[in-house]
Amino acid sequence: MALLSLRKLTMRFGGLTAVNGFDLEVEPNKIYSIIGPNGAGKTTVFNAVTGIYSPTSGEIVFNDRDLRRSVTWQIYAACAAVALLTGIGSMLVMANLDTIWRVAIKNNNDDEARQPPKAVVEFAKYDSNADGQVTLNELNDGAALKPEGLLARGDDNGDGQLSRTEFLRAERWRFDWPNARRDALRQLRGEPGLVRRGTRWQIVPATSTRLLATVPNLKQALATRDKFAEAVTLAHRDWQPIGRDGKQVFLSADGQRELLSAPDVDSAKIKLAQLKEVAAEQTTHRRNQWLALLGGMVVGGLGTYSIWQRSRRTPDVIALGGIARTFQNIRLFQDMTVLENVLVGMDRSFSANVFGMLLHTPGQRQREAHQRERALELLDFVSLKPKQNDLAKNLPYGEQRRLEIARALASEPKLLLLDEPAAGMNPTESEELMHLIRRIRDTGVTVLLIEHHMKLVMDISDRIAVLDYGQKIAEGTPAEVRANPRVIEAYLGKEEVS
Amino acid sequence: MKSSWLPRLKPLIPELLGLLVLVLFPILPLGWRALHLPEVILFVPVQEFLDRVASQLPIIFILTILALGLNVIVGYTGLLHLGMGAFFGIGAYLTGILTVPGYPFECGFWLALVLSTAGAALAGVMLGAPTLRLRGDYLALVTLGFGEVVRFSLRNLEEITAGTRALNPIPPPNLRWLGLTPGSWSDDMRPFYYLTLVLLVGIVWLLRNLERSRLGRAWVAIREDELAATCMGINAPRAKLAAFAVGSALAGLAGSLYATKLTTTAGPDAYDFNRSIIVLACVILGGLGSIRGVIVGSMLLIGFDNVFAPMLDGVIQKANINPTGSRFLMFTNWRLIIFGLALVLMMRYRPAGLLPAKRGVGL
Amino acid sequence: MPLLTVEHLRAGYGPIEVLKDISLEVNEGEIVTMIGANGAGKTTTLMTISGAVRARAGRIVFQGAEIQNRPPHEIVRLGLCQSPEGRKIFPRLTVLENLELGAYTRNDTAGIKRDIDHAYELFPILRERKDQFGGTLSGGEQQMLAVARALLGRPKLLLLDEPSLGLAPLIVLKIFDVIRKLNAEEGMSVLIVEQNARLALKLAHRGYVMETGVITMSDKASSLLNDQRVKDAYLGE
Repeated sequence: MALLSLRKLTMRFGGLTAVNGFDLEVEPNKIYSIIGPNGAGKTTVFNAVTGIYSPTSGEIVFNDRDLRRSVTWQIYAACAAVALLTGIGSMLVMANLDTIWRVAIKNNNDDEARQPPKAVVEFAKYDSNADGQVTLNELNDGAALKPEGLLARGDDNGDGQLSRTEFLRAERWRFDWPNARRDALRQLRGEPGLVRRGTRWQIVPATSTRLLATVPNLKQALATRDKFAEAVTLAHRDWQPIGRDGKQVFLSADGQRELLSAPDVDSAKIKLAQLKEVAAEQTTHRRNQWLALLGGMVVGGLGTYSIWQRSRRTPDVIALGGIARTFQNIRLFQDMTVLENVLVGMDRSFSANVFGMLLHTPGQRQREAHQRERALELLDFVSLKPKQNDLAKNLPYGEQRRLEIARALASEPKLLLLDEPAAGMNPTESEELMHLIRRIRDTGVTVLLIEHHMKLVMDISDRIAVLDYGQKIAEGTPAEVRANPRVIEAYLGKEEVS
Repeated sequence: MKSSWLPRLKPLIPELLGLLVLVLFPILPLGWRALHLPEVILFVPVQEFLDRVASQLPIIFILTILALGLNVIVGYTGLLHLGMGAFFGIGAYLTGILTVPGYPFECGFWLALVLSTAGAALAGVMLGAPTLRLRGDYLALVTLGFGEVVRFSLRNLEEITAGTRALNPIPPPNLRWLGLTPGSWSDDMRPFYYLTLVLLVGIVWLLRNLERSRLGRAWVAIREDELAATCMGINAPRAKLAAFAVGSALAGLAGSLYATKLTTTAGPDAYDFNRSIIVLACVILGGLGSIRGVIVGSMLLIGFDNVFAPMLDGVIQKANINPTGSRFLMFTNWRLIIFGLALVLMMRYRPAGLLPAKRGVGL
Repeated sequence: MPLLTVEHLRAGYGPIEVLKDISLEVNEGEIVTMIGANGAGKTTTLMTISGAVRARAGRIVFQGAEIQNRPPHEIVRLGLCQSPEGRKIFPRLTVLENLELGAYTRNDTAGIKRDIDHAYELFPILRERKDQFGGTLSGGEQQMLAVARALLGRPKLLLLDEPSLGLAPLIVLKIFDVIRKLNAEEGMSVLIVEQNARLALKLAHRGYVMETGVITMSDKASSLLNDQRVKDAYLGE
């Protein structure tokens, strides 16, 4: 059974075909090599296998699986959450968040408008000796709700009693949330709302700045607003003046309910026209709101899902699946120490235990110590243990190569991809590298190799595939490949290089 | 393991000494006054200087927290973030909305602190998520734009944020459980001084732990080579989002403290590009990715800005050097030039910052 | 008089002293190679000669002029050109533009054009890729481009740092052929650092062996090839 199978792997970049229909079966516990002229697409194969590029066509099967992020319920939950967030967000923008806030929060919390009269009355009720201060006893006598809390909250100067201003401030927690919620919903539906202007109140539709009425006090304003709200919903009915009271004409929609009044018939007609416009605006407003919610949800949900879909086959998933690699032009974490480089390879996916990491809990410490031990073993394996505290960038070239191999091994791969590991090494060093690769194979890791040092390749490989212009021109044992005339012509040349 | 804590403290001696100085500092101005020592020695108004330092240190601590947050994003993870001021502002304004009388919440300092921190973190994730694929200058532009978007939103959401008028008064923290009443709070700077100091020290401790955890390593690995890091199995988008969340959370916390210290959110312009850049300068001056560097950098830069420059102006005025009030002789007008000069000199002579990060030492 | 003389050169990075005492010579029309283990300081020697690394002590004389610590662009104008290790090509320029930049110090348009055609003949794959960005080339192709670019400067002395790095055997032979030809026909001197010591010593007239910042041996290339110590340490088998 093959550990890694590439089936008709094709990679195209723009108009360039880098790899064309490449087939390869890698058996476990063997050393495989891919050789070929420069630009033949060898590294591209590695990049496709490790998920840096996704193949244009063809299959990459590892351990009988297609390595991808698996679909879980969390993904759907996350998409739904994002959808909800974007939906509500766009709806709020459409509904004008600022106005909702003003109507629902600010007006409801207005000092003089809603709270104070009640609070002032209550203060008088508690202040039995009328000295302008209420003590805890007085609060208890007046059966205040949670008197200690009220006192603690309000007593700013710490004299153990509440003055009138302190009392008013302390009372503020009785913010009229039900009313605020109703106001906010009213705004969202586009119904007329209240806006405070100085000492007077205006009734204004949520959808426009059109002024419907101005009234002197809150009580009247609330009543008028409700009347307008009802009138707007009935605006499309057949309106009739139903009577006259001195100077006022009364309007009614269905002949029974009297809803609005106007000074004369003409202004009644104007008012009717206005109401119809507001009703029409309100319908559009509501429709837009729903569209915004829906659109936001679709964009947010589908967007998240499609981005997730596209990133299902990423290098980290593949690394976790058991394929590790090194790079042609060494890519170590230059400013980290040798030991840290290996530890990063060992970290695999980071667990969600942020609190353990923040607080450095004993469990965390133990795991770190264990990891460190394993990392040192690996460094010993590539004989870099004495240099564990050096920065990676300060290592000489050959040692950087070995460190990169140790880092790749740290993720406990089943398959190790080495991209030109012997580049820049002298014959003695490549000899050592050859032994190292054999030792890696002996620990049960399959090795797939790209290399130009023919001595190394021929000595070490169980099988060799030769790529030229993205196509496999030969595959077989070293002896077969060495004797293949096409390989000699395209790659090896007649003279032995090393 | 138990017996090894003493040698492990050894490399921390400079930090511990610095901490000791900061803990004892508030005694100085009070002691000076109590002992009737001369107010001015050799043209240096010592008493005024000590008072000023003591009153400005909390602000410096707060901005250090902000710089530490930025350090997580820029220093560890290597994502150039030019909109940190926005998250500072989000924290400040959330605290304002949640505590100012006139809004229904008035939930008090502690809850507001927690909620502002969480809110800013959420905002950070929301900015981070769509920008995960961007790097370098592109990310810098996006974050810069985001900073401006936040500032203009703060200004234009008139009803929610009171526009340019700022939200105030933000009530002081309730420290009654420490036997401190709010009345004594405004006269005595010490409670808030120690509050911010304790928070700063706690955050430094948490960040030190985080720096050495696998998340910290993942951040640095992404900074060094993102492709290689993902090929090692690090989920780069997730690690980056975590960096954004942690950094923004610290910025939100700092903003919350800042607004509480000033008792006002101080208007949207306090959270503009300038703020982001000065904090970035603190991080770069101190050393990207180095906690102690960032602390020293912020102490120097913000200290210079908030203590030294105004003090020098006071001296110039007192000594009657500038009777005509020429703008050229006002030191505060030169401070940005000196900022720039300091950065240029540092880049030339210590390109890695005053106290560069040392990896793998003192673990 | 030798073309290049290096006397008692010391150089390094930060606190690390890489070159402790290097003295070497390259004569007119000569191919000289430096061999040694990784980290011995071969690349640093080349970088110091070409001005990319500051010399801390010692003298570098090129055609009778002291060039230590002069800026790299001046050194290039004098006719000393380096092909850096690690494929330092311009990734956002096309292959053709990369080559043209190699001839930056030259003014003879016709000659440049001829030399570019010549480079394409040496490395036909570069002609195929001439409008591609350098960064999209494969590793080996970038290496070819780096070597070709260095040749375009028509230097009197060419410093080559591991020209065979990551190249297919066929191409390695070709590059070494080209160097031999340029040396024989146009008298270009070459100082070459190469891991493939056997090949380099076959090509060169003389060789230096370097160990941790000092030169330990210097001799005719052919004698080095047969030296037992060199065989054991650098040639393998």
